[in-house]
Formats: sequence, C-alpha cells, structure tokens
Amino acid sequence: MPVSYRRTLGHGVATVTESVPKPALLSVDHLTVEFAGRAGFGGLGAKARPAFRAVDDVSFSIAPGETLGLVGESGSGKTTVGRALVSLIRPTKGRITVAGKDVSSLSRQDALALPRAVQMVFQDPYGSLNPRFSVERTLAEVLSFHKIVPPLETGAEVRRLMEIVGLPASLTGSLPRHLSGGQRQRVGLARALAVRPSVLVLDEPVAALDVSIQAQVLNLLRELRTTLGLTMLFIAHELGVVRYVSDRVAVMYRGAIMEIGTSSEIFSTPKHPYTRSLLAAMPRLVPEKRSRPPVLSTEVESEAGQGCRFRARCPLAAPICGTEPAATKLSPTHFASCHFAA
Amino acid sequence: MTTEAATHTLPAGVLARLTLELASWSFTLKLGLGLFTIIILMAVFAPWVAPFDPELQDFDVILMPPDLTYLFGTDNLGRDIFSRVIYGARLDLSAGFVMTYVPMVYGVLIGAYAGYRGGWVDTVVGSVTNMAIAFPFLVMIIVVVAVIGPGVNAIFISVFLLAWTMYARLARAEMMVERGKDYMLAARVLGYPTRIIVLRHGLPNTIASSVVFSTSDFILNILLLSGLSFIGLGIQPPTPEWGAMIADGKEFILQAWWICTMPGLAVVLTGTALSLVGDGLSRRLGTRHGSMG
Amino acid sequence: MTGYLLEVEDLTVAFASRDGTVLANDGVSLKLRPGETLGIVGESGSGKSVLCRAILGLAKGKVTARRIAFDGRNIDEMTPAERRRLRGSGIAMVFQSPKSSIDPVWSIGDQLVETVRLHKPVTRKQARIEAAALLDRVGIASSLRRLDDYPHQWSGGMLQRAVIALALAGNPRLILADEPTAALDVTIQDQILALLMSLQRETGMAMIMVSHDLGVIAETVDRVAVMYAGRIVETADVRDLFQAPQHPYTAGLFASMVAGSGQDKILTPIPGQPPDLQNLPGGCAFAPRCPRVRVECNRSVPRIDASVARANACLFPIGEPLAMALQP
Repeated sequence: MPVSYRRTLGHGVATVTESVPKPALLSVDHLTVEFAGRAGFGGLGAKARPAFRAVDDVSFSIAPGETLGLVGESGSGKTTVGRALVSLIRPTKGRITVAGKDVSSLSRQDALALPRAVQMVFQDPYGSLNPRFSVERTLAEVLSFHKIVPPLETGAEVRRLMEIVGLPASLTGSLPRHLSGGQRQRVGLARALAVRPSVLVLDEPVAALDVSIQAQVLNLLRELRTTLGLTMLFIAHELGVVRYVSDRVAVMYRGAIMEIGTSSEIFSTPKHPYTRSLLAAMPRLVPEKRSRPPVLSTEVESEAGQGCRFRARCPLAAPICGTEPAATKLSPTHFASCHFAA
Repeated sequence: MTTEAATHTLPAGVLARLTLELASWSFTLKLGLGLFTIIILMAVFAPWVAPFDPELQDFDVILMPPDLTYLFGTDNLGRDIFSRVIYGARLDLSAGFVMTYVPMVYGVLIGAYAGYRGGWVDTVVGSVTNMAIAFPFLVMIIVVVAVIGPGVNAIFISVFLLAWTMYARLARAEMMVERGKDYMLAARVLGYPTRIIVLRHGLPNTIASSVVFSTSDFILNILLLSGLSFIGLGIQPPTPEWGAMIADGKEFILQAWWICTMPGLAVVLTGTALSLVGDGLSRRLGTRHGSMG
Repeated sequence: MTGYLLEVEDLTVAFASRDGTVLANDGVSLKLRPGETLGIVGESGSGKSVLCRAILGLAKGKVTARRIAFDGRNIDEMTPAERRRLRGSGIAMVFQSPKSSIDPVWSIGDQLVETVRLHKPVTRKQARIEAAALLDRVGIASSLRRLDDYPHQWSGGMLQRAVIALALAGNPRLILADEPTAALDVTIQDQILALLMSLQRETGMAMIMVSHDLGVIAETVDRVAVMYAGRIVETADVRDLFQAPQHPYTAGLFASMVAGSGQDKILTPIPGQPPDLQNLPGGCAFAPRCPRVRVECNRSVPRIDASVARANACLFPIGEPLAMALQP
C-alpha cells in the first residue's frame, strides 16, 4: 500500500505529496542550518560575521537500500547537510528521522542511538584516521565501545570487516602512514560499517583519491550496495561519480535543493537550469580543443537576493524569478524548483 | 576485489619492532640519551660509584687539587668533590624530574581539554593561565619560604603552582589544530564521549611539543634549583647539590677553582645531554607527523 | 636553431630520502614547438609537477639533464640574471591552488604592478594601467577598482584569473599550467579553461597543461604525454590517444574514468596501489598492475621522447598481439 510523504522543495511555498513504495529509512524534514551572526569583539580576536544560512529548508527521504546522491558546488550546503545528519552540526530547524526515530533531538540516555543509526565516511584519507592507531585498533575500538560483538570475537570481526572492504589481512597491524590513500579510505569505510549503521553518509569519499583508485573504491561501494543492502547518502561535487553509485540524485545550490529525481531523470532529462549548467560544464571526453564559451559566465554572488537563488546566474532569468519558485512535479520521482521547469 | 598489500609492512615480533625503532634514531638522539643514561646510572649507583662519603670531613686534606685519590679535588672542609658531585646528581636529577614532569601532567591535561572544548572553558582557562604567567616566580618562592621555611619543598610548591602554564599553552595549541582533523570528528560521530576523544585520541597526538619542551624545562629547573640554592633559598648545607656547591666554592675560586668548576661542569654536561635528547626527539616526533604521503 | 621552443632531453630529478634515492623524474624527454599545446597526464607519483618545476629551475632535489633549452638556448649556460628574466617573460607558470599562489599580504594590484615592472621599464602609474588591462583580459570586471582588493576578498575562481593575469604580465611564450582547475568548482573550471584557451589562441603562446583529468586534456591540447612513476610511458596526438591508447596504463586510465552523463558504463579500475617511488620494481614500473604483464617486462623498458609523434614505453603495447615483442 503506498505511503504518502509530504515533501517540500524550494522555499516552503508549496507542499507536494508523492507516493513512495516503502517507508523511508532516513527522512529529513525542513532542515535549516543557520550559522549565527557574531558581533565583533573589538581588538580581542573575534571578527564580526553576519548570520548565514548554509542549509535552507531542505527535505528529502531515502528508502531502505537506496542511495541518494547529493551534488553541489562549494557553498551549496551539501557538506553541512551531511554533518547535520551525524550531529556534528546542530540543525537550527527541522527534523531528522532514522527508522522512525527522531534523531535530531536526542536525550542524554539515548546519546548512543544516533551513532548506531547514522555513520559517516570522510573525505580526507590523510586526516580521517588516528595516525597512532593501527587498522586493528581503530576497528576494535569501535566494536568494543559499542559492544557489537563479545570481546573474544573482536579479532574475527575486525578481519571480517577488512575483508568486506577489500583490505588484505596482512594490513591488520599497519599504521595509516603505511597505507595508500585508497587503503585508508577503505579503513574509514570499515570503521563506519563496524557499527552496522542503518544509514551511511559519505562526504566526498573519493575526491582526494587518484583516478585509478577512485574507480576501485566506487566499484566497492556499488558492490556493497547490493551485498549489504546499504542505504547511503553520497555527497560529491562531481556528477559522473555520483551517477555511478546513486539511485536518485538531488542537486543543491546555495542551501536549497534545485532538482531531485532518479539518476536517469537527472542526467537524461534535467529540468532545472542549474542542473543543466552543471552537466554542460563538465569537460567532454572528446579530443577537440574547445572554443565554446563557458556555460555560466558569472561567479556566485555574495549576497542572496529575493526570489530564486539561482536568478543572478541563470540563462533563463525573467521577472517572474523574483518570486521563489514552487517545486514542479515532473514525475512521481522528479521535482525541480524552477518557474520554467515543465 | 582485494587490493595488494602495502609496500611498508610491519615486522611481527616486538623485539624486531624495537630494533627497527632504535635503528631509526638519529645520532644526536642516541648520543644524548646515552650520555643521560650514564649520568642517571651514576646517580642511582652513587653509593658504589662514589669513593667517599660526601659529607665526610677530613681536615688533613682540605683544598687539595684533583689527583688520583680525590678525582675532583677536595673542598675547604676536606670533603671529596667527586663524591659530592655524584650524590648531588641524585638530588638535582630527581628534583628536576619532579619539577618538570609533575606540572607537565596536569598542564597538558588542562591545555588539551581547554583546546578541545573551546568556548567559555577555553576563555576561563586562558585567563587563569595568563594570571599564572604574570605572577612573578621569585615573589612566590619568597612567600612560600616565609610560610614553610627554605628548602626543596618550598621550591616544589612554587613550581607546581606556576610552571604548568607552558605545557598548557603548548598542548592547547596543538589540540586546536588536531580537533579539526577528520579522525577526531569521526570519533565524535562514532559516539565516543569527550573524555575518550581528548585522552585517547587527541592527547597522544598533541604532546609532541610538550615532550620536546620538557627536556629544556628539565635543565632549566635544575638551573633554577641550583640558582636558588646559590642564593640560599633552596637546599641547605651540608646536603650536596650542584648549585649549593658552586655557591660554597665561590670564595675559593682563585686558590681552589675545582670546587665550583666541577659541579658547574656537571650541570653543563647534563644540560648538553638533555639538549641533544630534545633536539633528537623533536626531529623524531616531527617526522612522524610530517611523513611523505 | 632547431625551431623548437622548449627542448628537454633526458631530465632526471633525484631526491635523497631515508631509504635511498628517489627519482621523481627519470629520463624525461620532450620537445615543444612555438604555439603548440602539450598535455601531461598522470596521477600522484607520476612526476608531472616536478617536471614543470624542473623546467623553470625551481625543482628541489638534484636535477640532471643532457639538455634543457628554451628557444635554442641552453638554460644551463644562462647567467642567473638571464634565468630570472626567463621566468615570467619566457616561461610562466600557473599553479594548482590559487589561494597559495598569491601573497595574502599584498593587494592584487601591488602584485600585478610589481610583476609588470619586472618585465618592462615603466612608471608605477603606467604599470597600474597595464595591471588593470591585464585584469580585463582575464575577465575581471571593474578592474581599476579591484586593483586595491586583497586576495582574501576574492573567490577561488577570481584568484585563479589573477594568477593567470600575473602569468601573462611578462608576455610569456610558454605557459606551464599545473592542474590549474583542480581546486575549482566545475562551473568555474569551465570558465577558467575557456579563458586559458582563448588567451592561447589570442597570444599564440605555447602551453603545457598538466592534469589528471582526461576531459580537461581533451579540450585543451594538441599532443599528450602520459607519465607514470617519473617516466613518460606514452606520447601521441590527442586524437590518437583517445581513439587507440597503446600503453596499458593509458588504457587503464580511460577504463577507470567515469564517463560524463551518458551510458552506464562499468568501471574497470587499475588494480593495485600507486607506485612507491622508493621501491620501484626493476624494469617496467607499471608491471605489478598491468593486465598484459609478461616475464620480459621486468627487464629494462626504453625511455621515449615525447617529441616523437607516437611512441610508447611498452614491450607489448595494445594493438599488437601479445606474441610479438615489437616496439614502434
């Protein structure tokens, strides 16, 4: 029986009801993250800073076993969304629900519920592991702290985790400085999986890796999607990479979702001008020296204006764009926030 | 799909690992540690190494220059300087150790915690640190001596109250760098409590500069002790202590230069050894952090 | 006069390390004609960045080469003063990270003026006008007013434009661009690449574009040299390289890349780890990861010259049956 979910895209102007076949495992509702403004403190150090909304009323859900790709350039808010999901950043408004439980406001007793529900894989292979801990120690610590397996089985579980992520057992005692970037990312992945989370958030997991190693890790993620039935939020700035591992893709710009849909919808029939710009801006793998002008000729504005946040750079900008666009439903799974989306 | 083994794999046995570690030490570090070990061993085995009782006075042999019996000569009371230097090492080394490493323990903890928490905790700790730094040490010593009398305890109390600040600053600075690193964030995301994050994850990676500084601090503390003993606020006679010996010998510097020079050389030698250790350590710990790839 | 703008013959850059010598560049040779664009493709450890620095004489480590010549003149034979003049007016460089390429303490204008005056005897006032003109050329609006901005006020894309302006200040005949867009967003990368190409067309300067991104290479260069573990392993016209790569590493790179929007292609990654320059195998450095490896591959593998139209450093290149141990 179809379950209805209210989803809002754009700036809370319209509410769209859609049918999804399974209840969502992860549900983000009206997430807003605002960094408070700060008054300067004279000569004592703190600089004055205006209030800044990194994430503005973002809502999406992920079904069990599904991978949602979150794409955006710098300043889009995608990293902030990821960090809010694991409680590294406190949401200003909104609610995050995992497996029916509201994790955005947890009591002290329940403090361990969130780490067991949502885990994160970080971007930087060189900073994401404790330089003094061997692979075994890093993984064993997680297992013993969360009491995942009885103490006697820790060693076996560590080896099992390493096997899942494709690390040879000979690396058990290795320190991070003995490992390559790709191997370190695998350790980070194993660490996140050790807790057996319901949802995995990956924050640009392959951006810092060589191309040939990226491909290894991406293939691993694809494989784990099927073998472990992972539910993932895959954050990246490269569309091609996102497409390779995601079922659905959401495109963010300046704190809001511009377009969301299945991979094929986004890549074959993008409806939002920003999505189209992103796709067009990717260098083509055709050996011909370019003579075409850039897709977008301006930079991101420092001040957000009224109405659509992409207005200042949009090739289709018109007077109507002075009002924030509602989400246009293009299909049961495809939505775009643009007046001209149809 | 598995990956190939890393090109740098660790040898299995603990002994093998230890040998590998020792081999990677620089000459500076080995020299410094070797020298320091000799000094410590001499202090520990003082009763066996020292030919005479350091407090034994023999008026037949006062102010004798160094010879085969009295290796460093004798002082104005006929005491063997060599034995006194050896026994003095016991005092100076143990006092130096206490004056350095006790404040280091809580200094590092305070600094690391403040650096990690930031916010008002950091501000409060910062103010307390600044007050301790601003307080003149000599005044503190004099106050404490006035209360409990001169001696090594007065020095210890003053040092414990004021000397932790450098360690707090060093640890705080390093922790502020470390806390932004992804592995610390990962520890938070994994649900580890602050206590574990700071102590088990952050601290080992933030004490490098404190450890290196402690080698300098050690010798500075010995000099402090010697200096205070020199002006009469520290060790009281007849206990042998290098500074006190230098003070005693200053009147005889023209006729019996060995009385102050020998303990002075002991101070210099210890300082050099510690300096070499500090230098070697800083390079060793530095490379660990900044290795290629 | 050879007619070549840049000639590099048998360049080797060696670094001393704890476990012996590391050859960041091992016997690299290439030649570039005026106005030509050459792409250098490689991942980490390939030596591509060190190559650029070595050409400019900025490489740390021991640099030995049979010959490095610019416009026919041996760089070794130049006086230090001549070499300094060469940098900026003969060869200019654009680095990867704009935020660390620009001095944060000086205004953009100050740095541009300083560079302009280094290459031309003009007054400060004239230099300022030229600086503004340079900013115009790289697409920065209100250039005169922006001269007084400080680097921290500008975005990454704008800073990279400023870096390009600084590079142009001396009217160089060759620009070395070392991953100039790697640190930038896709839409900004698009802008910077368009800018570089239009400037290249406009000035006729030669360019060496270093990148790990084959898409960037495809759109910007005439010829390509592929580097691995400090050596050039394949060289070809860009069209030939894309159509029929000969070296297994090149083919592996193509197979590892996620193609742009389009078909759902399964990636075939190159197995194994990136090369450890301290522990290179004898013979071909790629052998441990090569799907076509044979016993012979562990013996010596020839050095190739990247001025030759088409060459590869493989004993069993793709396109030839494995049975034949032939080499073009």
